[in-house]
Amino acid sequence: MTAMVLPGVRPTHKAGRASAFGLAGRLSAAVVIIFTVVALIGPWVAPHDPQAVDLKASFWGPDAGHLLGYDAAGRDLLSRLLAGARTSFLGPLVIVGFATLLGSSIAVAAAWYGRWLDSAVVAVLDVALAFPGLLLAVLTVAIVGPGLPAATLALGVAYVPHMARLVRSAALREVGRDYVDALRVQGLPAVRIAVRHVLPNIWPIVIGQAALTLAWATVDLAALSYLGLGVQPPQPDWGVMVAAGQSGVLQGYPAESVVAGVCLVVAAGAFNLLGQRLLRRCEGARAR
Amino acid sequence: MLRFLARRLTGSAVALLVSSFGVFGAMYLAPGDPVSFLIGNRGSTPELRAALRSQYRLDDPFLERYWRWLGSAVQGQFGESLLQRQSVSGLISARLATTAWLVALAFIVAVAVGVCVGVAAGRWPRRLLDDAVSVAVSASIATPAFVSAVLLISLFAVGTGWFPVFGSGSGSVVGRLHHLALPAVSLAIGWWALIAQTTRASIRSELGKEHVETALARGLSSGQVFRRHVLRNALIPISTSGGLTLAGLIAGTAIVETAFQLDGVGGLLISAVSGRDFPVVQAVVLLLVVAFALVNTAVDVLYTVLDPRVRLGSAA
Amino acid sequence: MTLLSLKALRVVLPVGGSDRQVLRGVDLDIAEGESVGLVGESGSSKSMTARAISRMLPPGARVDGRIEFDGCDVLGLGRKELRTYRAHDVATVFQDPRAALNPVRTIGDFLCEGLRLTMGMPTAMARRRAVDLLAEVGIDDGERRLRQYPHQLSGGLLQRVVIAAALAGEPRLLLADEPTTALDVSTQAEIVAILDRLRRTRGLALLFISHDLDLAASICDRTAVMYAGEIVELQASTELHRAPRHPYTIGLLGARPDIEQALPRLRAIPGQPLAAFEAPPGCAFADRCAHCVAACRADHPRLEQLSTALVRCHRAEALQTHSPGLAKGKVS
Repeated sequence: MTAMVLPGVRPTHKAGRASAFGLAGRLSAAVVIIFTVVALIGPWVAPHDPQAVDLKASFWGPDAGHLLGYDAAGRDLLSRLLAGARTSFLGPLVIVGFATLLGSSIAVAAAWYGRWLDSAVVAVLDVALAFPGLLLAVLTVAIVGPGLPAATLALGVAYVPHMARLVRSAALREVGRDYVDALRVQGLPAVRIAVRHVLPNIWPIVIGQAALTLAWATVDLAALSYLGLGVQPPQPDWGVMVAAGQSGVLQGYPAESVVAGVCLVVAAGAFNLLGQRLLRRCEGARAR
Repeated sequence: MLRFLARRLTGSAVALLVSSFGVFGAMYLAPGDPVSFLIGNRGSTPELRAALRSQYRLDDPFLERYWRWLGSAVQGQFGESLLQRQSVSGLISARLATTAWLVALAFIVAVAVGVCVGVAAGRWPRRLLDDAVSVAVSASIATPAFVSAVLLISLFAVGTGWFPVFGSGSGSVVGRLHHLALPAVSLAIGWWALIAQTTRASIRSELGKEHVETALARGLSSGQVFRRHVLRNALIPISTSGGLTLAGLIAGTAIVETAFQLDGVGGLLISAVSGRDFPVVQAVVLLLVVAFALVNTAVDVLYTVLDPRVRLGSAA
Repeated sequence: MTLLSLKALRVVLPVGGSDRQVLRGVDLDIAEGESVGLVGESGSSKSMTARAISRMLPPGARVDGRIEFDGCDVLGLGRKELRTYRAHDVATVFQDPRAALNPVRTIGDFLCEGLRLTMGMPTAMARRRAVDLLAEVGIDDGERRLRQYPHQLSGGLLQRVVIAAALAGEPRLLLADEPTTALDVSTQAEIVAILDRLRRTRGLALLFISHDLDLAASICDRTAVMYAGEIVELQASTELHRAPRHPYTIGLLGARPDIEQALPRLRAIPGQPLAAFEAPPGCAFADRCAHCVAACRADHPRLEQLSTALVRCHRAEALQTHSPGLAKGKVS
């Protein structure tokens, strides 16, 4: 190898990190971790069977064994909430994981090879970005039919353009740097430079954008389920619960819709704040 | 200026054509043959199959079918609904007014609230106000329209009875406003936050510009400088997020109209998707795509008005 | 008649939680119609002096001392009086004309804005006046220029527009803060010539801020040299060149390339310039000075009269008598 120093992941000062991240950032990180754990183990820690119907208990308020009360069919709300975390919270993770992988690959390839590939990617992105993601998902569901797999795939595809656009601009900046030329001149294979050197320098932006996208994905997936196009009842899911609870709302029992809605708001809010803080930290690191 | 607009218009036209092709071709991507797809889980009789085959002329080549479909779509003909024995264009035109009212109201709410809050937070960056705004913005962005819809129904329609629970109201403007107030607010909630964020950020950045200092050094009052320079220049990024907002509001009608059971185009789309009424889905999606293209074009035109650097190019 | 008078002017700026002193006691008088140069390296706070005069200091700045304009206390002006003062008494020409103009407004908007809003002129009259002002700074096709946007004009033309706008309020003092630094060399001379002509024809007082000693001397009656937030030498421009007193001024003159002399005279001052807040308790220039003695580090020198000059140096008198070669810039 050569004596040339290669920039790795930019060092961030401990103090700067804490101040840019702040209380809100840490709080939202904690929420994300707690929700993830609940999503993973929720069905097992649920105090009751989320599907057990007891029509006598319809719309009952909280009691000793049922901390949040019952829904219209007399099912335990807390158990349904815990069980519903799986699709409502892990579904978006799958969506964003897919969009991030595909989007970043396209973006890095476009930035690396430039010329016609880059122009083609930009042209396609421009067309795709004119569509709100939710609408693309609705169209997909219209073709494939409703259900969680279809909704997940549709949203995953819908977010690829957003991810690709942001990563492309970061990758372009990185590919333009001298050290990449130096590595090229040494004859390193392109894929190796991209994976070993370019990617480590842009991943903080990718992670920040992924967190922001998670907020949208949480809202959009729940919206599809709410519209009856995603997760199908009686399977517990927060979006499904908001829709199912709407009949209770009209009769003056809003508990089901409200608790599920609050969970969605907290989850999406945490992802949003986390993403904002992560991106702000990247900007701070770049400014230094 | 004309070159810029011509380029953008060509782009929009190409995007429209590509989208229309996608919308038309989408149903052939479905697993199984198109006739079974169109029939879905309805009872399949040989007569129905034959009728569909001839209505869609499935024996003709694909491109020819697309061309014919596009030709009639341009004239507003989308065939018959499979669910309701009615023409698709009739279904849509009966619902267009509700959706237009809803989007217009929500847009006014989102822009008015967003710009006012953003200006306040940007101009007076006191900690408390600024923090309160950023918390409200985050909470609003994180609140899905259907959640806010349910909460609003619970609080202001069922709880206090101030507003009707469902229905879009017809006839008088007051009736419309009364019926669409809650839906419009619920639709606007996520979007006023975007506008507030953009406004605040652009006002902050404009306030730091040297030309603002120059104006102050010439003896202009800070109010004059704010109106004539800071706000004026911030309008450029604000108009961008205004365009995004309008597009987002149009897409969001699908959710809000379903939540409030309004007889609008968005609600029609969702019921058509649920009922596998593909001619209606195609028509509504195409209509929405046209609406997005119009919004984008409008933003481009606004840009040329607001920013002379776009209008005149940069020839020193 | 003294028009502007700065007395023991001190400015402290809050920077990231701590306070930084940027002006450490500046005394300067400018007479009616007089032009004074203010010269120093970057970081010497010469721009801060100009900002203090027009009260355009960053928020949170603390000012101590006195600024008098025509006998009136500038630091005590209320909001409205301050606007009148900025509009009619003191005008500023900034360093970068491209940044100084709003990019989305026309040249006409920029010029007429001042005339209409601060002078209360009707629009049509303001436009005619704007064309006259442009003619005064050597722009003949004023009507056309008024309709143009900043990005359609060259930097030199834009700086003329800024100067024209500065004249709009019929000011008595012009603060020119490095007005030629952002321009290319050929236009620099034109801008300086315009400033010089305007000052003579209109009887304007001028504070010309520059890092270029020769440029300042070419249009200024007197020149003040700043170092680390204070004036270290002040005398008539011709005298300053002939007999600089402060070792820093001598260094600056020595550091200036001179093509007329065949001898290698280019000699940079050793070390780095200090910012005002880094200044030690003694003489701020001590660390870079070849003539530094113990007293220089211990005592902060005062600005004292030495024949025709005001000098802030303990050794000025001794250097003047003992090293006649100094005046030619032979420092070390």
